[in-house]
Amino acid sequence: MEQLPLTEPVLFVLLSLAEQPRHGYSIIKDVEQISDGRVVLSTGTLYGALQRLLDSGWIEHFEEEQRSRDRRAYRLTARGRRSLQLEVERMKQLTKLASLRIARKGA
Amino acid sequence: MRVLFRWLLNLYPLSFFRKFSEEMTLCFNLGLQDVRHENWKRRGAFFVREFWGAFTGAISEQLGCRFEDFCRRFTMSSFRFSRISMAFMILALIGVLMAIETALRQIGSDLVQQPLSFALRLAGIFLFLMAIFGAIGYGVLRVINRSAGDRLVNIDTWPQQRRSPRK
Repeated sequence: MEQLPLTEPVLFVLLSLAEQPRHGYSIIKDVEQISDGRVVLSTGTLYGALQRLLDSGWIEHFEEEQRSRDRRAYRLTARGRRSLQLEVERMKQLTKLASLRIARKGA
Repeated sequence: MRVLFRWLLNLYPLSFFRKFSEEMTLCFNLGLQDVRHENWKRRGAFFVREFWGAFTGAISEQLGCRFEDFCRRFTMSSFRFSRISMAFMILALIGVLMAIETALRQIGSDLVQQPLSFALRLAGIFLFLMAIFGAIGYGVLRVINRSAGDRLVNIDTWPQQRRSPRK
């Protein structure tokens, strides 16, 4: 079961799926792109995260017309989207607080 | 490399293997195609990342828990040292004790061996008792759903300094 705060790989996987349903390798490439090459997921890390997210009901398999067994897509569920929003809100508050503190110290 | 990766996938639990092995193999193959024309550094980094990820992922799945969760749970402690540090320190202590005992056996001098052996046994008994009482204490606190850290935090030592930030 995933808990907040999310780990960085899980957060990036959810952000990648928030845009559109994706296949495993497509998630790896997208995460690399959106993190400017800072986060490069390995296949093992990705599928461990996907398994947990599937168990938590945050993502689901996405049935395609041209479906093949070794190339399944995943998409975010409503529950997963809500959790992602909660996490983003948490991070916003944290960033706001940190900015205020740093500004106060700098002044 | 593909064979090695496939072999590493065998380390995963059977249910995980059945569910994801084909997808993971495809993912690895696509990655391999991408780095095929890259320089040796990038290819090396790719193989290290993939094999290490598959290996640690397999261990993690076999243990039925995530390392991150494990570490997160055991480092969220109100103690000065995190619980995982304490566990490692106790393990290190046991290792040192065992090393000393082995060294003493090799020296074979009764003059040094007897008092040290006694001290070691005493330390062993102390550790054993500490583990027993620790487990009982932890169990009791789990039952009443409060940790010792929580109790200490909630002690109202300086009430004037504990004003709510909302006021």
